[in-house]
Amino acid sequence: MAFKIHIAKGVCTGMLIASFFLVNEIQAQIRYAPEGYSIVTVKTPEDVRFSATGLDVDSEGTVWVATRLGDVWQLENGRDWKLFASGLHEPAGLLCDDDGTILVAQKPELTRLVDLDRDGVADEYVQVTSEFDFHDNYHEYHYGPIKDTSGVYHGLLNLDHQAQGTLNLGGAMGSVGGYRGWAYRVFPDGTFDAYAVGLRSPAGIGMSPWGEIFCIDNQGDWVATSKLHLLEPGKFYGHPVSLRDREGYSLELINAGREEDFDRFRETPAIWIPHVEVANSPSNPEWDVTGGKFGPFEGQVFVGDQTMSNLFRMSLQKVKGVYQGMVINFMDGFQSGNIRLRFDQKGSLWVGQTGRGWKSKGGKLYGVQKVVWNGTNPFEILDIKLTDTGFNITFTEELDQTQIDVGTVSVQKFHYPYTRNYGAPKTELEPVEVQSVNLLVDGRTLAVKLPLTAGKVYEFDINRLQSLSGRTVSVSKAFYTLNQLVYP
Amino acid sequence: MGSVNRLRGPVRVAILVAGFAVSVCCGSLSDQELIELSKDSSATRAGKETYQNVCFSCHGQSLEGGTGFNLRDGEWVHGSSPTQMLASVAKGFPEKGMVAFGSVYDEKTLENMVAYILSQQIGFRGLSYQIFHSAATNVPLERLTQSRPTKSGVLPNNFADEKLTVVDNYAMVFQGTLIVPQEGRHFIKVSKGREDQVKIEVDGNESRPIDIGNREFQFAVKNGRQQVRVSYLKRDSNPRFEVYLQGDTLYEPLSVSARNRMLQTNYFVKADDRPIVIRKKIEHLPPKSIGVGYPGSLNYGFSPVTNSIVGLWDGDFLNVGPNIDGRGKDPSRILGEWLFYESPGIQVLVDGEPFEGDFIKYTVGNSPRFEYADQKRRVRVSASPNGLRSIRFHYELEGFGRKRITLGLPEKSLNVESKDGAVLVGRFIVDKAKGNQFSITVTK
Repeated sequence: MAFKIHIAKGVCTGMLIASFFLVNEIQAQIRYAPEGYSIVTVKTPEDVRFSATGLDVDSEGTVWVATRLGDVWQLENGRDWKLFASGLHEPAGLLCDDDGTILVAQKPELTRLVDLDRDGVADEYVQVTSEFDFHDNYHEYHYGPIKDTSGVYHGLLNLDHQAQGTLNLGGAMGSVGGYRGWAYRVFPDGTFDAYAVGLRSPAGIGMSPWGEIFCIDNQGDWVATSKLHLLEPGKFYGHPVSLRDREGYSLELINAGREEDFDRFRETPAIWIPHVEVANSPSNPEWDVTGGKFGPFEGQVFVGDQTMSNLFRMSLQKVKGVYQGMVINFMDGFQSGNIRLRFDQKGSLWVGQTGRGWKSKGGKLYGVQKVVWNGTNPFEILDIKLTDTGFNITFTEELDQTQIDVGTVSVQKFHYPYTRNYGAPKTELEPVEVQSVNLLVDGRTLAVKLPLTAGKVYEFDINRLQSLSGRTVSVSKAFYTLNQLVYP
Repeated sequence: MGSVNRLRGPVRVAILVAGFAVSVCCGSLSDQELIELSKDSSATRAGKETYQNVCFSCHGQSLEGGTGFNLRDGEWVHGSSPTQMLASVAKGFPEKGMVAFGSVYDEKTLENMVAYILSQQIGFRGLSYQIFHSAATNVPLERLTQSRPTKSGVLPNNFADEKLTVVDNYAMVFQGTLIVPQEGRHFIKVSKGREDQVKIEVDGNESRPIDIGNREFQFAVKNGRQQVRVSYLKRDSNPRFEVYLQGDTLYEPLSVSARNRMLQTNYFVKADDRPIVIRKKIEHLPPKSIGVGYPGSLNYGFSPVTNSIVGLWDGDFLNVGPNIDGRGKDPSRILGEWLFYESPGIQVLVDGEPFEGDFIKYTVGNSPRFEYADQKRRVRVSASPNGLRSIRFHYELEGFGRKRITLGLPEKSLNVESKDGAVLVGRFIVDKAKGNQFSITVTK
């Protein structure tokens, strides 16, 4: 079993059923969570539809939220929400800029909100860019922005769903043109550049600590399962309809294209995120650069999921210039759909939420929660790294070596096909024979020797393993996307 | 009258005129005479004026309902005949906050008001239903509805209700008189489950469905009164049957599920005490448009794509509910009547050509202002309310030198006035002596 029932309580009987039912229902939502971590629900303004689809923390630690309703709020003193701006068109991203202004990715444009008289309310709504088309289709979301180390803003443009005149190749998502399905950037001089193509529903964009831009695209037509990509100029990320805006392509050419034609030049993801097992509608990648304030996961990437109401984490490894790495569940049981993540300066992970239109396991239509760590070192799989003979699986605490043998780790491998279908299953799923499992000298890393094949996702199950202190992991299954072998 | 309270917000209580004797009594005109009066444009015009002075605050600018009932649909709690309506208006419902208007207005005024209300009626009347149960899941709609109905009856609230049966396999037929406004194109819009089937006949002829996506279909109807038969076969495991009457300026429920959905989705944005600027998908306005609502005045839409006024309407600004409910597929709807919606609408022209500046920004506050520019020239547009039926647009231009500046006006005839130039058909020519600042006033 992948997940252990961590907090779920038992069944009550007789007269107590009614009074216990609510407690049981709420607690049973949490299936896994690392020890030492808890969810804090943040009170939002009464009677306000607070779908927090944009969230950032400014340099002074103030949390800012953009809502799908079209408001921008700031949390003063960590307690009182104050309305800063309103009337925006379904924002799906917010950035606190260095000069104190607020950038919002609303459907029709990227907008800078300026508080001229410093009274805490935006006076000017300045267009940063609108050099992309928006056709009033509900699915034409606009994500971002991220500001890179050169001061360039990056944003992402969702495809439409059944817009009039769309090109959808028979699938769910389409484009009427105007850079739908593209990543764009705006240079400091205002120049707009749509620079990468082939995105479907890229609900989140993030920047690594070393300054590269990554995005997460959602499972669906032409996307076998959700995935993490490094965004690079000129690259094609798999959904063909946005090629209509690329020079050299015509509608006829795209319509005539076969899967194998597009497959030849598409980018493969850094990490595949198995559908339902880990995510369904993942959001933005948020790096833990808290310096240990959030526990032992420094440098890893945290992502929320709107449908699953969970968080998962990823660890990247660059092998011969190619990104790949691990993905593993982190925590579930959130009240609504997790769509935006951001660490604050204290090391708390803020979670903006929405459940409107797309139901979430948590059930609430909107909200804000945060994950806090109490300093207890959890016992979990910390990381998985490729070696030249297999994988090193590192844990957060030293292991009880008496339990370690070749059966400690079960491994399967599979791949995801490139297909126009709406999602695709694990393909050629087969067990991998583990040749040896050895505990390394650090006492917490298992060296797993097994045959390696590039282009596969390796699925690891940890069995019967305890830490030296007798604890078991809350999440025992992890996945590693193997794009590039260390050797040869 | 009606039974639905559709407006959120502060309850508006009409002033009770206690002590007045009711001077108007029902029976002055017969039902038929009142119906005839509703076809008399001078009577309905006068009735509308009275309505918009005293009734709109509770029943809505377009009779759509508010704290008071909807006065357009087929649901009339206090009697739907014209003479019953007249009696209700005359006697009022003081215990519910509605004045006995018979003590305030003379007989003719109230008859005109009722004539106006009658002229605005839409939706089904005399609606009946038939239910056809089936043991099998694959019986075609046509065959099932030709069999003997399991149950039949009338629907006094005149809304089609598919929830009248709880069996799994069934078809229903709704039949009645449909009242459609005399002006403009109108459709019955049906949202249905993927496998559900719907057939609509208008005066005995099948209306062919137009697929508009998202499992929504439009069926053309005529203007005025017509006999409509709606057949519905529940086939989908996730069935849906929402029926609306849809037109350029109209979106009304015809079924219970549609009405319930609209009740859930209403979210009224009103400029009660200051201007409001809002970006949403707004019916009839081009994508990216920005709506501006003024307290007690006309509202307008500005397009940052064409840098022009693309719509102007009266009433209480917007119901954004359809655009923020669920996935937000539907457009926000205006809470009033259009003066025009057209692109490019009112637009600055330089030597006869549109000024193609880039949109820069808008400012909010007491006087929202839009600004667009190219490298050398800049235009700022703002507006100020000028009473309930009038609005003045101000233009400030920089860098245009001695270029000939005009405003392109909508093709639809507008009442435009200005001291700063000459109003011609489709054009406003700015008086050169006015330099770079001029205004126009648009009046309903």
